[in-house]
Amino acid sequence: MELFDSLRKNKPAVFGLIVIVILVVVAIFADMISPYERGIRQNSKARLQPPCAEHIFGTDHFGRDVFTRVIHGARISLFIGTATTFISMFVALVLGSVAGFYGGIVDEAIMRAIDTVMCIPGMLLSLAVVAALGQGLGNLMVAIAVSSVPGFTRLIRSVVISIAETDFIEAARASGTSEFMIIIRHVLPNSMGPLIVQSTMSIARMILFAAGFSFIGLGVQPPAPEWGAMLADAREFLRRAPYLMFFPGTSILLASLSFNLLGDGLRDALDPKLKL
Amino acid sequence: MIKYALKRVLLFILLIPGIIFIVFFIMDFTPGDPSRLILGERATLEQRRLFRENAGLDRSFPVRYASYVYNVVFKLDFGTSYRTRTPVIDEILDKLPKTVILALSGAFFSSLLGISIGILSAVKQYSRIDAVSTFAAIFFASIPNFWLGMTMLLIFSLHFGILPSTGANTWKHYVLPTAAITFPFSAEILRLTRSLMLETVRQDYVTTARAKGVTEQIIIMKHALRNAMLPIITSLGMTFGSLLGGAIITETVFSIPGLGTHIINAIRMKDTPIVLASTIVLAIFFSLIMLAIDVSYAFIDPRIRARYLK
Repeated sequence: MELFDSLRKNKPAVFGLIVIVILVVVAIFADMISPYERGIRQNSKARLQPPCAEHIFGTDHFGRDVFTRVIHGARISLFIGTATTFISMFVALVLGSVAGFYGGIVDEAIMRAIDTVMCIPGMLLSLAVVAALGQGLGNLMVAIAVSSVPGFTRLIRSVVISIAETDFIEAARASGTSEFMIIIRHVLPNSMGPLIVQSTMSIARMILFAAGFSFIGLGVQPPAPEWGAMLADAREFLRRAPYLMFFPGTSILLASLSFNLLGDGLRDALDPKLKL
Repeated sequence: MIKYALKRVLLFILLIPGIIFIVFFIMDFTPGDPSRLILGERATLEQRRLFRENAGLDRSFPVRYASYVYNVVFKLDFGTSYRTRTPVIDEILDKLPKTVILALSGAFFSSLLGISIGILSAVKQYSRIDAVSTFAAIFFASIPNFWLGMTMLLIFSLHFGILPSTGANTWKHYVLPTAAITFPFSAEILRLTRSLMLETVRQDYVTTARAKGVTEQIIIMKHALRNAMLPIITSLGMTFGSLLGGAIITETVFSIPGLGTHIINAIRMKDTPIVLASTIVLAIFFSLIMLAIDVSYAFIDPRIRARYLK
């Protein structure tokens, strides 16, 4: 609760948390706010209408309601952001804790492989994965999760190493606890702080990344209401319907901004020495 | 000194087969038969077999990989495009400069902006300047660069008409795309610089210098900045990787015929050799930048210099 108290004093972090809660609520109840149908059904009579009473965010080039598409887009973006963070964190947890805890040749092998992968910028790595597996939601998630495994692995390894050298791990060893149980019971719970901060920030990055991929047409495929894909459509009508790019873009910005603000707040709360 | 540089260059050369292996390995997951995609459903079995043989697809993975590395390293041959049947390297070399210009100018301006404001922000911690710049940094780090690009395109090209919207013929074409990647990435660099600088000002030797009565200006310029510069430069290298990714997407916004749009088109066309080669070329370009950073270290850091003098 100490964490919560210190977080509460951080106004930007509170703002971030509130926006995240609103986004989650909107994502869960999207169908009640406006049925998915409205965002998918094409209506040639209502094409490219600017915001009005019936369509508060206007309609796109197929006459679909942009408001509906934006709120259903929250579902996709939040899902991709959190799911890919979990996947890459999990893989990195296994690799990083094994490398950091056992050291020696295992560590050497894992880290040299990670170093080599890090010579390829994340975006390129993801592009290669998408090129190999094809487009679509699932493949996109694999692609962007892969690109953040190396960074997470390095982080987890360094945290694990710093903990593995402490006395209480030595004590656990002396009492005959198995290596595997030491990792699960003692090392990982004690490395949660930096991991929580990095995961929160990672959600922001993944949301941006996924939107970027859908924007270039290699991510979530139409007619799914993904924010990045909506911006790609809006780009075609920039002159005629500039309002089309406003709402999806603002949504991406708000979502990633609030996770970044929360992550920053958590870091300050968990690491008091940075505040001074 | 030269010994250090040579060692780094050697390591870089050894890295190339590794980079190729990773990309080659990923691309090998492509399901389906490329001959079906390229020749169409109506091609005869004989035509397909011939195609596979020409493309070398009937050999095993290690053999294909080894011959690819050999061809790249010794003949600069990256294979032939499925679609145009021409060497892929020709088109890549034609498009690479546009991506390089965009990425390097983006890197230059974002480092300039990010490092200078980051230092200012750290030196004046808790001042109004610090509060404004840290908020601006987190805001711009959260903004999708392609959306920022579209917004600027709408304002400066379509509304005011002072800058061209698409293409890459003159320097003016690069102004908006560069700005679109500069803002988000300078924000990232600003955050890094600020935290590294704050860490340095809290070191004991800075306190000692203060106690000695050294003026604040000299403390910042001579003691703190010089020591903070090394980790800042290291993280710049990693940021450059994501900046390169940003440049790839930005090319699509402004329809710049660079390597980014080239890869994206090739992925749509399922032209694997182009994707493979472009990814490898860009990854090697990125590693070259990292190499340059590492070697430039030796010139800046007396510790590394001393180690290699003996």
